[in-house]
Amino acid sequence: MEPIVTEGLTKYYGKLLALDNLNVKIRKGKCVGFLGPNGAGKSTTIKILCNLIFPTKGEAHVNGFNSSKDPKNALEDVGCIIEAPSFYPYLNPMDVLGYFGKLRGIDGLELKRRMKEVLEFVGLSKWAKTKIGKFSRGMKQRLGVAQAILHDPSILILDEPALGLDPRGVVEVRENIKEMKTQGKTIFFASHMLYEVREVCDAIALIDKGKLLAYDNVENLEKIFKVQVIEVELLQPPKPRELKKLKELKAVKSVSLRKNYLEINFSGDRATRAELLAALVKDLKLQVASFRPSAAALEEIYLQLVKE
Amino acid sequence: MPGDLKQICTVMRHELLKNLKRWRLVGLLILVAMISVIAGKVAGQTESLEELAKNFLGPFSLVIVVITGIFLGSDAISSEFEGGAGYLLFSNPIKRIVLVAGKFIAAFLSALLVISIFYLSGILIMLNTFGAVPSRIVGSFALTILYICAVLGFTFLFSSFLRGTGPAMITFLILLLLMPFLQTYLLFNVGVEPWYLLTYSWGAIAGYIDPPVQRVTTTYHGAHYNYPDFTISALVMLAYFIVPLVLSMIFTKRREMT
Repeated sequence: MEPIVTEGLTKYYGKLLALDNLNVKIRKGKCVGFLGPNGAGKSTTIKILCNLIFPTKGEAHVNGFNSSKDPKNALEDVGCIIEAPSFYPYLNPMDVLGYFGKLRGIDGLELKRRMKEVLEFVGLSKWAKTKIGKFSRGMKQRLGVAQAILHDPSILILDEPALGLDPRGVVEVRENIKEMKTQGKTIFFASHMLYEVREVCDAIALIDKGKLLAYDNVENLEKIFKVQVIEVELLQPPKPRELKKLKELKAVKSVSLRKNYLEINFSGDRATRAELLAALVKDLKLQVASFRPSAAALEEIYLQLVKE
Repeated sequence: MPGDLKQICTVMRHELLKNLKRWRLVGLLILVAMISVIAGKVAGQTESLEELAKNFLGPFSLVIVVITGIFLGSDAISSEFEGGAGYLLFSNPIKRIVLVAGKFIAAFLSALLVISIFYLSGILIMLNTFGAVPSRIVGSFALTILYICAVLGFTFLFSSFLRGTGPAMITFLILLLLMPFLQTYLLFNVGVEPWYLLTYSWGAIAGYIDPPVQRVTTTYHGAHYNYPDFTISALVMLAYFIVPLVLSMIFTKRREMT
């Protein structure tokens, strides 16, 4: 049984169709990125899954339970972060975590231990008894992560968890998610940040105007849309002759250069990618400092599918 | 997962903590202290114990009860739907009815503390001035408890579907302006007893201490109602408590966190 399933999920806000017969299944232990432009229906889907709003038609199931009709069972093993979490400013992290822990049946020494663990995990141990009113937005977001994982859920539903954070905050949240992924949690993760999704997720569900446009793992999507982009960092910028040779390679579709960085758009699979690396190092004798798939491919797929 | 009853207790304890940490309870107790000092100063001018009790439990306690209800109930539900606080709370495995119940009990217990201290200060003033306390003050206290439940029911109802200061404003307007105006109009212009108005039932709280011999007297202008019927007033308060509270649970259950 898949931990997260939506079946014919449809939602109207008045006359506005926000979700149009959405069918998504997320397998256990997978991290799925949920992409789409503003107003695509990402937050609506996630809010229905978390029992914050109710579907007009269709059903959302979490761990086999209908999230609107049986939220108590559906959300038992789920941790959620919806946009920028808001806390009462006169409370401190211990008050907040203590409350949510007790609501979920964690109590006594076990609760104290878990609160200590999660506050350490998100780097808020020093501020455990500081009023949240004094926290920065990033600290509040990290407290949001702490409350979401307090009960060690196997499912995480995250809606723009890095929304409004500075670059450091974005990296911290991304690292937290990566860490949780290694723990085998199922993660459903809505974001605008393609790089972040590319870095963290196993698969991507792309949605626009309430409809699911694509849902597959990143490599398959790249194959389907014939888009693969590699980002290469060189120690020295390539000479024009080297750049010309690179562009003449069979698999290469286009190359762009910015200072020491190359962005190579090519067609092929992982083997082609290996051949490309060999050509850069052996044939062109370029000094490669780093070589990695770029989020630009995802951006290209995104732009192909989301026309407006 | 804990059962509903245990979750109600958890919500109640957390709401009591919130009331303490945001100083609302302390603010209300300061208000009680101020009113008690004023009441104490004018106590010497009253001629009898019953008159003092009636004065103390009349307008003073009405202000205390309505302000307490507004302070403790008006944003109890609406605050969760504003600013994203509910994103955290409602995504937890808890029924919304359980949340409302826990919040209501916490608001009631806080209000009970305020009202009890108010009555206690009244008793001290009466003992200090006349060396005695009216025997029927317990009944009056019971009616006040019912009245605060009704006011909280009102505020919870408006809090379940309005935003911001809306619930506080509407409760204030209805209980201190609209209903008293309607009550006066019906009593003195139409000559009808508005037994169904919550503010009219308020009269039972002071009236119970020392009721006139005749509840209704006939005058040249028609019937004159000296005080409301105690049983009917208690039932009206009970209805104003239960119906809005149940409605607030239904509205909260259906309200979307958009």
